[in-house]
Amino acid sequence: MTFEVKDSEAAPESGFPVTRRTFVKSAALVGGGVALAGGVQDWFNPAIAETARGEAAYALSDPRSILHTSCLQCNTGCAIKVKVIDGVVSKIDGSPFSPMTFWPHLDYKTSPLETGGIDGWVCPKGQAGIQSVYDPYRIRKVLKRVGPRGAGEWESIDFAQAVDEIVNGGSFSDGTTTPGLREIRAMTDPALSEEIAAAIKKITDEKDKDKKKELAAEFKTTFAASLDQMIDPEHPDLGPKNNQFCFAWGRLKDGRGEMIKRFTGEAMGSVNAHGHTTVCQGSLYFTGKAMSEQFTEGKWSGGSKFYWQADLNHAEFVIFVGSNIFEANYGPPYRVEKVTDGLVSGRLKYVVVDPRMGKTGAKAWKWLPVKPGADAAVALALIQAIMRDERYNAGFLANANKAAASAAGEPTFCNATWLVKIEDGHPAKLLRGSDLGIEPEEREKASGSGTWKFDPFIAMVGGVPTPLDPNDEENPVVGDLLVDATVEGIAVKSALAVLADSANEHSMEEWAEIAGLNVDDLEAVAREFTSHGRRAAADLHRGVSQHTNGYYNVQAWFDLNLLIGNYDYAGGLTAGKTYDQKGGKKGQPFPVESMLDSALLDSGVTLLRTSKYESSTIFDGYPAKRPWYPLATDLYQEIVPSIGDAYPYPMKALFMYMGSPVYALPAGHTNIEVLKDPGKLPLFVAFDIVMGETSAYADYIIPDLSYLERWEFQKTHFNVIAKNAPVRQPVIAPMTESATVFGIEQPISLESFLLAVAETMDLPGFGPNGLGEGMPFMRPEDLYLKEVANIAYGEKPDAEDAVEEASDEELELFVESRKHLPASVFDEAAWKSAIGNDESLWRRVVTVLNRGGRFQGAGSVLDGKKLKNKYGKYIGMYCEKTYDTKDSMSGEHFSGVARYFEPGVDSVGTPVSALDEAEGFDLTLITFRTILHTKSRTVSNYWLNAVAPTNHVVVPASDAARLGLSDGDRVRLSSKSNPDGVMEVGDGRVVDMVGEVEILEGMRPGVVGFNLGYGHWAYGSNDIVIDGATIPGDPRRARGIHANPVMRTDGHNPNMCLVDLVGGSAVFYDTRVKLTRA
Amino acid sequence: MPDLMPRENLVLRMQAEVQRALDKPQNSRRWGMVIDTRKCVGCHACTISCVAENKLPPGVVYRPVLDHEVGTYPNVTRKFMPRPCLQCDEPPCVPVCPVGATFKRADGVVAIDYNQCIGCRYCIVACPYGARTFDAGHTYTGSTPEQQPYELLPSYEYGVAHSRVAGSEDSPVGNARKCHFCIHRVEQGELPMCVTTCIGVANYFGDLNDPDSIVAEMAAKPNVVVLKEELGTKPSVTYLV
Amino acid sequence: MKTISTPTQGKAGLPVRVSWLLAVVFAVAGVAGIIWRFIGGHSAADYGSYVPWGLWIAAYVALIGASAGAFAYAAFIFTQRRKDHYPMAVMATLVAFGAFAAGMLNVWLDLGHPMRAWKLVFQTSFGSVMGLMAWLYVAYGLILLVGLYRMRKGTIPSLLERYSWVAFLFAVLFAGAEGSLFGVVGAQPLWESGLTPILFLAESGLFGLGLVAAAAWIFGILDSARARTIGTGMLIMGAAVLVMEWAEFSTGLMAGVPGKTEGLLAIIAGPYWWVFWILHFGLGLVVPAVLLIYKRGDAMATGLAGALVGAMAIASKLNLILPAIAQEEIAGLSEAFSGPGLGTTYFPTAMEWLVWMGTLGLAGLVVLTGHRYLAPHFAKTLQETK
Ligand SMILES: Nc1nc2c(c(=O)[nH]1)N[C@H]1C(S)=C(S)[C@@H](COP(=O)(O)OP(=O)(O)OC[C@H]3O[C@@H](n4cnc5c(=O)[nH]c(N)nc54)[C@H](O)[C@@H]3O)O[C@H]1N2
Ligand SMILES: Nc1nc2c(c(=O)[nH]1)N[C@H]1C(S)=C(S)[C@@H](COP(=O)(O)OP(=O)(O)OC[C@H]3O[C@@H](n4cnc5c(=O)[nH]c(N)nc54)[C@H](O)[C@@H]3O)O[C@H]1N2
Ligand code: SF4
Ligand code: SF4
Ligand code: SF4
Ligand code: SF4
Ligand code: SF4
Ligand SMILES: [Mo]
Repeated sequence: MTFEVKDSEAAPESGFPVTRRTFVKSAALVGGGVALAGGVQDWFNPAIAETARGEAAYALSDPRSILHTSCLQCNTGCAIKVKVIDGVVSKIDGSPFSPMTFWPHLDYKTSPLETGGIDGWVCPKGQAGIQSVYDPYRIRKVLKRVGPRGAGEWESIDFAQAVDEIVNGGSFSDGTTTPGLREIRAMTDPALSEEIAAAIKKITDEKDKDKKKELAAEFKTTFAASLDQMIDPEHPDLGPKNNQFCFAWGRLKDGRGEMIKRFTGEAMGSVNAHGHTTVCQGSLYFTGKAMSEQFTEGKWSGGSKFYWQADLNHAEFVIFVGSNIFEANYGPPYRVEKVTDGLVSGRLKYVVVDPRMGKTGAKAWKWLPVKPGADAAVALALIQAIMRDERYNAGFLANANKAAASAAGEPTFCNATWLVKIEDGHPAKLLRGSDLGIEPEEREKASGSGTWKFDPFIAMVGGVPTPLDPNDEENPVVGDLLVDATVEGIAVKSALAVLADSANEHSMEEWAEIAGLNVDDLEAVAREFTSHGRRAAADLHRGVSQHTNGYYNVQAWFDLNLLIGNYDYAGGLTAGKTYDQKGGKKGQPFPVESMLDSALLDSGVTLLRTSKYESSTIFDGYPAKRPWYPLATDLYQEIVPSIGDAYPYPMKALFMYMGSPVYALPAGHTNIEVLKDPGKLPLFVAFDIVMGETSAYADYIIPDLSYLERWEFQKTHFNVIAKNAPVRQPVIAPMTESATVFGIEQPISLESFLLAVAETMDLPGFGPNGLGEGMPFMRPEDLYLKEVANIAYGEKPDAEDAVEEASDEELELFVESRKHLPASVFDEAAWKSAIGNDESLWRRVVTVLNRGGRFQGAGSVLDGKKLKNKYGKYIGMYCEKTYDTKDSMSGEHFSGVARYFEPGVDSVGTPVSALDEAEGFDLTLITFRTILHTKSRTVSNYWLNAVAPTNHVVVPASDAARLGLSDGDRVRLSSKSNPDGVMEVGDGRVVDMVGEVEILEGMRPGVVGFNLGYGHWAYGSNDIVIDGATIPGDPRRARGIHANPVMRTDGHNPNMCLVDLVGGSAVFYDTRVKLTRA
Repeated sequence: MPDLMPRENLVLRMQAEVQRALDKPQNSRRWGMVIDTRKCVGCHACTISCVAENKLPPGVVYRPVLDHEVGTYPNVTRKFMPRPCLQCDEPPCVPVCPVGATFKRADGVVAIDYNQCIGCRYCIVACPYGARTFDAGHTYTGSTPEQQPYELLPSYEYGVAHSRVAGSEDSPVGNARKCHFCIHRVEQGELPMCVTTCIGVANYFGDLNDPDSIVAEMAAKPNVVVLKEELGTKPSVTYLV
Repeated sequence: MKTISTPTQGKAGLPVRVSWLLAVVFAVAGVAGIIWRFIGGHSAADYGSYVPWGLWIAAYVALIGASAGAFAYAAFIFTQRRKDHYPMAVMATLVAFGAFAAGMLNVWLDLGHPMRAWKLVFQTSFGSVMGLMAWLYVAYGLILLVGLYRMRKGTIPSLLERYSWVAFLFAVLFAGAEGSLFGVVGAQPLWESGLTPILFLAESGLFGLGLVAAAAWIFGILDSARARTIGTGMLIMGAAVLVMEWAEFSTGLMAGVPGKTEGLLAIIAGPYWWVFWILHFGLGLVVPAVLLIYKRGDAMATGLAGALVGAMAIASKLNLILPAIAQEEIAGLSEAFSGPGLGTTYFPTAMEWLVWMGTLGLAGLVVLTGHRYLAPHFAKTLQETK
């Protein structure tokens, strides 16, 4: 008797079983075009499977069937090894070459021919990546909507037709038409673009209002001939019409990032290339940016969009604050082992500050179930206790400049001792030499193009105001820590004293009350934190930053870290390091960003208003129509609503790459109204691998390559102490159809589409000379191989820092292990020629690709008690640039010092959380990850769904008892801004905000939550029509609840969630909700 | 303060120990596993790695991880317990098999001969740990628009390529199935899949007969517990608490 | 009731015609079920891993038990040379065979690899009760076949009479062994009891007698004397079952053995409490007892009581199997991973019901055809004994 492979969901009770449901298959979605090597259908043919049998007993450790690349099942991007059998991925494991997935990892020099049998660590999602790639709902052909947007009906069209319609305009069966990119790219002259950019900069930089007006008027005469290329000649600072093209993305990594920026900026001439940072941990990044701003040539600049995390490998004590390290974060394969090792060896103990215990809290020394959003209160309480008991690292804090730090052997220093002017009792700008009558000093600019005026900062040294240059490497200034004085009639305090004031705004008891914790715990944690020298750290993440007060929560906690001076120390905070692929460092072979034939210079206010409101010509008093965010970028929650409100200007086209704001954003459903409306958004193109919750509203969907079919540079994450650069490279044949672009056959993808548009429009930065004279950019590898070469070459001249050249055996392995890849992807000659046919460089590239990236050895991560890879710079305890920025809604200065601000306040200062609570929305809604899911894109992973088929509305036991709920009850969530607890999809369907209750003790009373990843209404969960055939959705993908639509919207801009005006965060944890039985 | 020296890579150490054991005759090694629940974070990486490695279909699982919340707010914790086959030395699942399809190997692994098993499920009933599941022939993607190819790739259980393609003779469909300590990997000098992938490095695996192996060292710790010890099944998998 | 109705004696009685109709309907349903079973495999069933055995195994155990009981009854009659009861013995042998065939079909279809069933006999592991049973089945089947074959001419060979005690002992052993199939499973506290095989014996007797009584009544050979005897047998067996169940539940619940207590509670107070109380206890024991006591010697009442007892056998066996295996081996196991067959709840699917009906239809057809074939030959013998 024989058995057939059965349908897992041919539910026995559902009638007669079918071996396999026989669907009318749409070739656009499945089975069409070039699929897998040999075609999927062949796999039903036992003859093929026979060949797979009986070969090597264990084919999975054969180096010839292994390729190393980088996971993208979550943004951690662990280095992985992918085992491919007959062109199909059989197994994914961690790469033993990378510190992220093996510790200590293998010596980089180890030959991959010898490592087939050594597997590293990956999390369950990493394992299940196979199912994201082999997703039955993958799109393989370009889809064009039939009927209105979001109606769920599509036709598959030719790639060439899609390119043509998107470039020249298209028309749809419902009578709508879309504008083409050609029309939007009004300004095409590079020289003109530079002139215009300069003129706009002048207008923007002008502080005087009247003069600004004059300059704007002047612009109209200067560029009279080109005014039709401007969005609004009255407001030239809005920039050219090119800005009406926006490229937005969710999960974008480098490589593709360079490509998109080149396309949007240099080629299309638009300033509007925007990512998703603020939905992620926006204020964590932007506080990091603010605190890392360096004083350069008279200005605060060069702050990096990043943040510090704890070095768990050496830490003895860690406070995890809203940092879900066992289940999310960056990422479990690297971080968990450091903790479990520490727990069992006795090295480490830790505290979890989180309203939810979770798996991380389960092993904590103390779980502090903080009230959501009261995180700064906890930090400030600890700061108060530490200051009171003088348990801070006075030596570190006293170093006021680089010279002092170097003298003390400190890699970093901060401005704790610098004097801050106190105006009306509030800290304002930093005291400068000029305030004391010291004449600013004229200095050469580093570029040699002129001079700048150096006006020193002042620290008190032994009671004497002392000028200082932060970057001075010769003259150490060691300042007094706690200063409260009047200098030349100016009230001043040291930055540390200003911070102490913040910490003393409340008593310990009051702080405890605000945070919902008890004083004894706070005192104990403060003591412990200061009992391990530098081997202690507070590690923060989304739970701290995604609040209306997120920026200051983060700053308070980073200030706490400053008190023990743990930055760059083993067991303290780390900033991580990666190998640069852009080639910007001296000596690197391919500085790709500057390799261009010609380019437009983009200019103007961005759609997201990432500049000062006051410096724009559309300044119109407070509050602004929508907020401006001079301290942040990539404000995901603003993209679509700003388009909807045509503020600061109307938009013509949106390209959305690997992002799903409709699903991901708090109250993301409010985007639907705009996305559905061609009047507000005339052209909407999405790049996707499936029909996602957002791409469902597109005019065109360009099928993309999955993470195992494409290139990207994942780089590293801040907490990885070894220098680390996994490279994502194609390991299986593409599943999309192929197309011919620049005469080369290539798979349909983000890259080939952009290349084809560039070809059609003859855009600069692409084509036969796209990367400079004689340097083609006609296929993705033209760019990406150069970037790999940069990594391989290293960051020092003369290949001093280069990886070794691959041996002949390794070269052979390189080709052999790629034998299943079609020429449209792997073409050795083309790859080699992309790096100029340099044999030595090629061998180095092979070394990197054979190992899936470049990784520093585990033995070289320390420098005594410090980390080898250092941040190594100034850190701002008091952030003057932040103070210098005004809230565009109130017109008031932001605070330069960390303070406790009440969470749940909308953009115009209304305390919505408190008000909603008074109206009976008595529970606070939070959200979190489990290790099984990544946002909108793992519901296709059936293995993971087998562990957790659905998510839950997690309710604390005491609240459940109060509400009479038991496990499994169905409840509806509602809020002030979504009183009915429903969401309209726009195709007639209504999604109920109803979920199943799970009662937990490990949840702070008064707080309910749900985990991310379920409650889909698209992404293969619903029926769609392609070419007239219905593709039935899979009910397994529709389970559970996604309660983002319940999250509170802003009072002033109700088409958007609550925001942190300083750090830009989209707010996830400040909504008050009600639970009702459904 | 503990020093800052780099730690030993436990996976590599255990792999070396496996290699050492393989150099001995089969009957003088005894594979065993110690699971350190203090290091287990309940991530299910082991569960899924095992599913992926062994191409397990819906309804078949070798290593579920149990998750219990204990205590009341605010004194709460969670306990995680992965449960592979315990490879009992007195395995109740073996004597009940009417056709001798499941048996205890000399190296301690309790194996199933996929070509011998008639699928009566008596062993499933007899296992006191719920460690055996029945392969009813389901697939994860059969009910979707397209059956996906990865599900039909062979597994290498017991060192033989077992195909799931309909009609193939050595298909495990219709059989009882269970964890086999990934003996197909172990005999190649590798570790069980769940052991290598574990992000908490919570598993010790190796030859219990080798006193120098880490697994033997861990198995002798005073904080070792044996599941349902009263049944006298003598599991080769024990837990550290 | 002096005559028996046979096809040769004109039109069959209503009960026989109804039986034919039912058997055919059941068999047709069964054919559909079996096709479904072979196309859909086990994925169309609700049993799986945490509840590895379901309706079919319950049916198999019930049917095999009943078969053994019926056969023991026949053997007993032959041993005792109770010629007045010989028609009953013949009927019992036929019933035993029908039930056996149906039971075997149930268990065969339940195998993951039905085509490997031969291994049970040719590659037996005798350490396994199931392996042993396989041989016992073969032997038992042969005995039944040989017996029926030798009886086919309408005479009871003296050989049969002489060695019936062996057959009787065999049947008892066989029924007991069936019980130890479960009794030896240490993993299932609910079964692991010395009482299990004995309980099985008593149940086998009860169900066997019940089926024979029902069949005898249908075919009109149940006179008052026979009804009285078989009724008494059923009452004794029923009482034994009750006593043993009482012992099992009271000790089990009192001892508080983990796993056992939950299992027992699940039986009497779980979601399927009615299977125990209404089907097993009520319809399977109390109502038949009432019928048998108050209508002693009434053929119809006895037949009906027998039918009830026989029909409710399945309930008793479902209660034996399901609550036991539906207990999680380790608490939380069924939540740790989900999938078909990984739940602790079980309810037979339509396919399972259909197949099960088919096996019953088969049993019915075996008995009905057997009777149709044997009855003419027996007419004289049977008449004579009167
Ligand atoms: N409730 C709740 N919501 C959250 C969070 C939370 O904790 N709770 N976390 C937030 C965080 S931190 C983040 S970073 C955001 C992320 O949100 P987004 O940046 O929007 O990204 P994703 O959800 O990762 O993926 C978006 C879409 O990309 C498409 N896609 C998937 N794979 C590919 C691919 O390979 N190529 C292309 N071209 N497209 C692909 C799919 O349509 C998918 O829906 O979500 C946020 N949303
Ligand atoms: N499994 C998995 N891993 C991932 C991802 C994924 O999608 N899935 N995505 C990656 C990405 S893009 C990101 S941004 C990171 C996110 O990594 P994390 O930020 O570490 O993960 P989350 O679960 O979103 O963390 C939020 C935590 O904050 C807690 N929390 C909620 N409100 C508050 C509060 O008011 N105060 C405090 N102190 N805590 C609070 C939640 O209970 C939760 O434990 O994870 C990355 N890794
Ligand atoms: S942590 Fe993220 S990147 Fe790493 S293996 Fe898991 S899913 Fe992949
Ligand atoms: S755990 Fe179960 S399956 Fe494994 S050896 Fe023991 S009894 Fe057998
Ligand atoms: S299911 Fe297979 S291994 Fe288990 S007892 Fe039956 S024949 Fe033996
Ligand atoms: S040892 Fe292998 S078969 Fe057993 S649970 Fe681990 S991965 Fe699965
Ligand atoms: S992989 Fe390791 S840490 Fe994760 S559940 Fe399994 S044993 Fe526990
Ligand atoms: Mo994120």
